[in-house]
Amino acid sequence: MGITATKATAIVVIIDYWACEIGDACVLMITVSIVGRVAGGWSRLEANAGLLTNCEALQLLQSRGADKGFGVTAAECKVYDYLVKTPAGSQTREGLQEFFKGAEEYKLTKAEYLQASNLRPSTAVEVHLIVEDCDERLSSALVDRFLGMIDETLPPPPELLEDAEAQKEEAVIKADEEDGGSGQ
Amino acid sequence: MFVLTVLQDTLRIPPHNLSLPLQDALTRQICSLYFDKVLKDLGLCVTLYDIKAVEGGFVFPGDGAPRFTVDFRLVMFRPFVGEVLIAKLKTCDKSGLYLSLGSFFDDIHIPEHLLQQPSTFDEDEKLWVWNYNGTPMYMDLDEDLRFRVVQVKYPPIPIEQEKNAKPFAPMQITGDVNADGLGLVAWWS
Repeated sequence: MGITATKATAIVVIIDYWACEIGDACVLMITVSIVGRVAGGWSRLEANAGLLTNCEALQLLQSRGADKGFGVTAAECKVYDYLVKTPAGSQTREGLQEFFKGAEEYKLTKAEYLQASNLRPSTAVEVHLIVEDCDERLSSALVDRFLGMIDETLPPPPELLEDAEAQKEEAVIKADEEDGGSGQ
Repeated sequence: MFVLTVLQDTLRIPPHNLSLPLQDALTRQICSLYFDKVLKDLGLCVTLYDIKAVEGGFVFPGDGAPRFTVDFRLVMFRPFVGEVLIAKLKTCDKSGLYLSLGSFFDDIHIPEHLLQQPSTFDEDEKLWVWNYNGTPMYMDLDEDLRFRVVQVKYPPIPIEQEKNAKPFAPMQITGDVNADGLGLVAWWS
């Protein structure tokens, strides 16, 4: 008989132990708790194989079926639920490409582009937070232009979009009511 | 926030999965072994990006399952130092704030000395208050909070643990809110 061992090694922590006599033999009893969320047995080929924007991560999860909640793990659904509410929830790949093209002239680092697309800053103070040494690298006019460019290429986060749509609908209903009122 | 990482592993496909196409069987195996797990220094695995290469398929004597050497790319949650993230304020005590990122990552701590200065802990309300030019700004629970990552730690797995100890956190993020634009999102909009 061969002994089979799976790759998944459970990592346990000893909580308590005591000796137990069964007949003539003395057995050491151990209470352990399994420490989850740690995987083992792999070897690393490349730790940094590329950065993903939130939008790309969201679309990947969507393609795995996280939006339907079928065939994916609970953890993936949690990440999906988080990302949908961020600005990534309303972004498209085309919009992102346009954004990265437009952002070239500001000479930011890769991480700064990524942060700008993930957080979608709408005020100057947010840009200063994302861009290191912003005072020296970008003048206030450039920051304003950068914000304008973001506003043009990246849609507002889903929450604001819904608010704006709700307001629009309200305005339409109001206008209809007024029309109806004047018609009678 | 998310980074791709290439890993290599020898995966054993259990016999009951052999009727599936190889790609699906491997994906299932990777899913059960890696998803929602922390890999030391690499971060928390979120999902599988793609499978790059599959080799082998050797069946050991006495074992009813083939083993494949697989190269695959995982999407890892691994924020870099200096990254700005938005998380929900979950609890707070005298030692600082504890944040939760969309309920998939909970081990974010903002220590007291990295809060906006001057901040004090309100004993009655059990909340932290930033004293901004004489105006008290409360950091209410369940509010969105913007912070900057200062450190990402992967503490070693403890050998012994107290009976009632907090569950072990394999990945801990320390954050900083002491700058303009950081703190509750509502303050700056």
